[in-house]
Amino acid sequence: MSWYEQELKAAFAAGLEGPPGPDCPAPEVIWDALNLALPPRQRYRVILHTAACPHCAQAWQAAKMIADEAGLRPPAPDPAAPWWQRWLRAPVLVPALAGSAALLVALVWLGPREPGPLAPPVDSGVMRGHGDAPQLLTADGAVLAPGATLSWRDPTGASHHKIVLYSPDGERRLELPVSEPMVLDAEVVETFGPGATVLWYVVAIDGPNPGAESEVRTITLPGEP
Amino acid sequence: MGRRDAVSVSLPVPGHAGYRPLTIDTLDQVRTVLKRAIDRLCSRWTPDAREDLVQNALLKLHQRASGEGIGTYQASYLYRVAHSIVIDEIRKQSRSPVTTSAELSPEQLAAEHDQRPEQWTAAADARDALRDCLRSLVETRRAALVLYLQGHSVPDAARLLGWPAKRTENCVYRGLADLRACLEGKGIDHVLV
Repeated sequence: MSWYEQELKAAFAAGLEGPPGPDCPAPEVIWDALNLALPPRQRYRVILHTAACPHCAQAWQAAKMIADEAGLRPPAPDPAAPWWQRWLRAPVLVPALAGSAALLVALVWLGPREPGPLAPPVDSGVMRGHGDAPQLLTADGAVLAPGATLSWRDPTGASHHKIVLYSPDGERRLELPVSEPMVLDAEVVETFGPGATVLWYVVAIDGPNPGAESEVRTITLPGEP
Repeated sequence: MGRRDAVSVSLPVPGHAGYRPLTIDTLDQVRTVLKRAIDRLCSRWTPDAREDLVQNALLKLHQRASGEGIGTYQASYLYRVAHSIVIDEIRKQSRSPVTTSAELSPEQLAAEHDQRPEQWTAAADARDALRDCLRSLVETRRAALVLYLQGHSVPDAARLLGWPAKRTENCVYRGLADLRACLEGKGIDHVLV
């Protein structure tokens, strides 16, 4: 962004002279427009209104700030992604691919296999970023913010895994079966509370073999306690 | 399942298939979310003024709750209520008969913004010109550009407008060019505030 564009943005955000007009939409309408809860035509009208009304522009920016910080708005699609990546991520295709993958897993699971000893998952920790350069954060004490992932390596390739999370006093405990791609449910934050420190480990499970457990790590959940 | 090198799981985000909104149902939790949002929106207000807003928001929720207790909410709804309470308060103050910014002299306004009077006047003129020029833009360019000026990326603006990203990008950059030409036509070559 050029210096000139930065000046424009700052000038646009400044100044609230005069009272708001009678045609200003209610704050709830502005919030709903920003969060795509308003029909497109009405949303468009609110957007145009903010171009002419500094008060509603400020209300829009306030809504954007807290909605973004609270992670209420989904990240915008990446237009730079090649067509085949966008195709693979298409809403219709993802469940279809997940279903096919689940079927494949089931077939492999039911098929003949030679049981072997399981090795515990290793290198567990919190990973930040995706793609070519994911960064392994410290294994213990990292904040599991949105975008960060729990990560581990399984040297023996167990058929499935589960994550066990528990509070330091042992009073609260969650066991979540993991079969990729799986998302940690909001149940985790509900169970332990925002900002809580949680201990976790991974169990590798493979048919008749007993589960092999990784080392215990700690994470801090997002939010303020 | 075959052998693999790494496995990872991530926190849910809105829009993801596994996302389930967090529900909040105790007074302390509700109050914490409201307070966090109001503190963030009104960081320069006095603690008492912010606390008044939190109380107003709780009252609003209590009036809407059908049964006993505070009710059960999604966090997004609480943020919406906090935003509404704050914006209503700002609008109320803007309409109040006490001296508003519009009634202050350039010297007083400059003192408020830690600027010299001539600086303030020039900046105010530039902002007026910016609004005038925005109004003069082709509607589609105005819509895309106003989102861009509010800090939305082109893909985000495209989603809000329901347009393809390419069309949005064109509207933003043509809008920027038109805006610059309009401002220069008014003799404003920079819009520092």
